[in-house]
Amino acid sequence: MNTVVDYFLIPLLPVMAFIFAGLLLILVQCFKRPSLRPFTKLLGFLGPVGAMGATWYLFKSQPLAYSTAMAGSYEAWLNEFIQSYQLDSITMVWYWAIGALSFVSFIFIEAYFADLEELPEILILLEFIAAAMMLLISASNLLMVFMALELMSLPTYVLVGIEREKHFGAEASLKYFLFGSFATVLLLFSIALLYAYTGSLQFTQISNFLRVPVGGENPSGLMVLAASALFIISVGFKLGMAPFHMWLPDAYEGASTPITGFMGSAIKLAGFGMALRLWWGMLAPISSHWTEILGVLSVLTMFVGNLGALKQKNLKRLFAYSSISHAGYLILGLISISKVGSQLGVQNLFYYLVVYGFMFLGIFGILAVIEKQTGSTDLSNVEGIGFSHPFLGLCFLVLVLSAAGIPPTAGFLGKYLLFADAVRTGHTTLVVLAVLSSVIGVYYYLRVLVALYMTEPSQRIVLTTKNRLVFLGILACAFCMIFFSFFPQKLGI
Amino acid sequence: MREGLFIAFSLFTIAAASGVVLSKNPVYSAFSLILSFFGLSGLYLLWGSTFMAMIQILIYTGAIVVLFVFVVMLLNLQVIRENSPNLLFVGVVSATVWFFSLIILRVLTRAIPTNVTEIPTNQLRTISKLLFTRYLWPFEVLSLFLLVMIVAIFAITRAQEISHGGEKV
Repeated sequence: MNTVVDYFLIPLLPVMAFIFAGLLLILVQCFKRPSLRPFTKLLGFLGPVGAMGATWYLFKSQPLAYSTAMAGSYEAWLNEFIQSYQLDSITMVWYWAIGALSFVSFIFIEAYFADLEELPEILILLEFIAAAMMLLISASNLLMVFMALELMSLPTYVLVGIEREKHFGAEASLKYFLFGSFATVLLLFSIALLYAYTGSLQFTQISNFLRVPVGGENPSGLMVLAASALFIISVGFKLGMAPFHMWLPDAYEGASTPITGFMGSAIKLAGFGMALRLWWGMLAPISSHWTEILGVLSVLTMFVGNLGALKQKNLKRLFAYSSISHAGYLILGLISISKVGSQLGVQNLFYYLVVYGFMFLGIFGILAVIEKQTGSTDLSNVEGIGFSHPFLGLCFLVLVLSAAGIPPTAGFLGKYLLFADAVRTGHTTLVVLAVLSSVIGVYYYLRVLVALYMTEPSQRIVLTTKNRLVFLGILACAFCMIFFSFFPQKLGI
Repeated sequence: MREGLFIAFSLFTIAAASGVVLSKNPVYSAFSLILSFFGLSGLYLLWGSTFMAMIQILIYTGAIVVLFVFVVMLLNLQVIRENSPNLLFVGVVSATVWFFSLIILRVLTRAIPTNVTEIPTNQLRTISKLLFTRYLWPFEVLSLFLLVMIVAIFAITRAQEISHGGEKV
C-alpha cells in the first residue's frame, strides 16, 4: 500500500536512522570481538548523521506534503494509525537540532568513556533515547506521548548511574528514577482524566472537544482543571520547573559529565517540544487556565535557579542550577506564544532552545575534558585555564558569556527575543522579574570568568587530551554562539 | 445479587490485602497478594470485563507474584525483616491520603459524560483489533521499549560486576 509508505514510513526515516543504528550496534556486540571496538565507535555516529541526512532529504523533497494533507480519504483506522506520527515543517527543524546536538554529545561521550567497557551499551541506549525524542516531539496522541516519554526517560535513568565507581552516581540515578516515575504516574493520571472527559486520545479531537464540548459540558469543569494541573506538575518535573526541580541538581551532578551535557541539551529540547504539543496543541482552548500558573512558576524557576547557583563551588552543580534558570526563561517564552501569532513565538522558543542546547553542551564538553584530567570539576580546577590553555579558555569565555546573555553572543539575542515576545503578550511584570533574575545570574557567571582569567592557579593544570575531535566539538559549540547571533535567520528567525 | 457479590469480593480483596501487609512471613505475604488479585479479578468480572479479569490473574499471579516468591527465596528475606523499620505510621498516612483522594475522585467524576464507549462483549477481538490497526505504532514502539530495557539491565549489571571485581559470565 502506497499510503503507508509515503505518509508513514518515509517521514519516519530520521527516527529509523537512530533505531537502525541502535540495532546494528546490538548486532555488532554479539560478536564480542575487541577488534570491533573502533568500528563500534564509528557506528555510533551513524544514528545522528543518518537522522540529519534523512531530515535534509525530507526537507528537500516535499516540504509540507507530509502533514495531515490526506485526512478523510482513507479508512478511519488507517488515518489514525498514520497520524500517530506527525511530521510538519516545524518538527523537521527540531529534528535537525536533535540530530546535531546528539552528534556533538556523542563525540564528547565517546571520548570520555573511551576506556570504559560498557561504551557500546551506552551508545545503544543513547541511540534509542534520541529516537524516542523524535517520536516525542512528533507525537499526535497521548498514548504515543506516554510511550515515547518512557522510552526516553528509562534509559536516561540508567545512563545517570552507569559509572558504578562513582558512589554519587547510583544515588543520583535512584533519585532521578523515583522522581521521574512519580511524574510519569501523574502524567498517566491526567491522561486518564482527560480520556474519561473527552473520550479520545488524539490531540486534535481533545482540543476540539474542549472548544465545543459535546452535550454542553462545561469545558473548564473540575476534571479538566485537575487534568491540566496534573499536566503542569508532571511536565514540570520533566523540565525541571521550580517547585519540582529538586532532582535536577543532584541528577546533573551525579551523572557523568558528558551525559549531563546530553541530558541538559537534547533531552531538554525534546521535553519542551512535548510541552509545546501538550499545551498549545491540545490544551490551547483552556489556555487562560494554565498560562497564569506557568507564568508564576517560570519566574519562580528563574529565581530558584539563579539564587541556587550563587553559592555553588562545583561547576557541574553551578551549571545545573543555571539550566534550571534557563528553563524558567524558556517557559516564559512558551506561555507568550499564542497571542503573538504562533509561528513566530515557536521560532523564538526554538532559537533559544538550540542556542541554550549548544551552550550547555559546550560547557559540559569542556568540563568533561577538565574532569577527565584532574578528577573533579571544582571551581579551583579551572583557575588560570584562560592563560595556560588559551583555546579552551576562549571557548569557555564565549559559552559562559552566552549563558549570561551578554550582547555579542546568541544567548543575548535569544533572551531578547523571548522577553520581547512576553512583553508583546502583556506579561510585562514577569519580564521585569526575569530581567532582574538574569542580572543576579550574571554574578556567578562572572565568578567563573574571574576564575578563568584573573585568579592565580593554586595548582598547575596540564591538559594532555589528544582527541582533536573533542576540541572540534567544543569549537563548534562556541562558534554557534557567535554565528547564530549574527545570522539568526539560519535558525528560521 | 450484584450488590452482594460486589461486597463479598471487595471484603475478600481487602482482607487478602491486609494479609499482605500484616503477615510476618514474606512468603505468606506473597500468597495473600495472589488471593487479593483473585478478588480483584472477581470485581472485574462483575463489571463485565472478562478480559481484564483473565489478564489480572495471568500476569499478576502467573508472572509477577511468582517473581516475588523467587526473590524472597533467593534473598532469604527473614533476616532483612528483623531489621526493617516500623512503617506503621507511613502506612496509616498513605492510606488516609488515598482514602481522601478517592473521595475527591468520586466528587470529580460525578460529572463524567457518557461518551466513553461501553464495554464491548467480545473484548479480546476488540482489543486486538485496535492494537493491530489504530494503535499499531505505539504497539511497535513497545517492542523497542522492551529491547532497550534488556540492554539497560545488561549495562547496569555488567557495570556492577566490573566494579566489584567479580568474575565475568
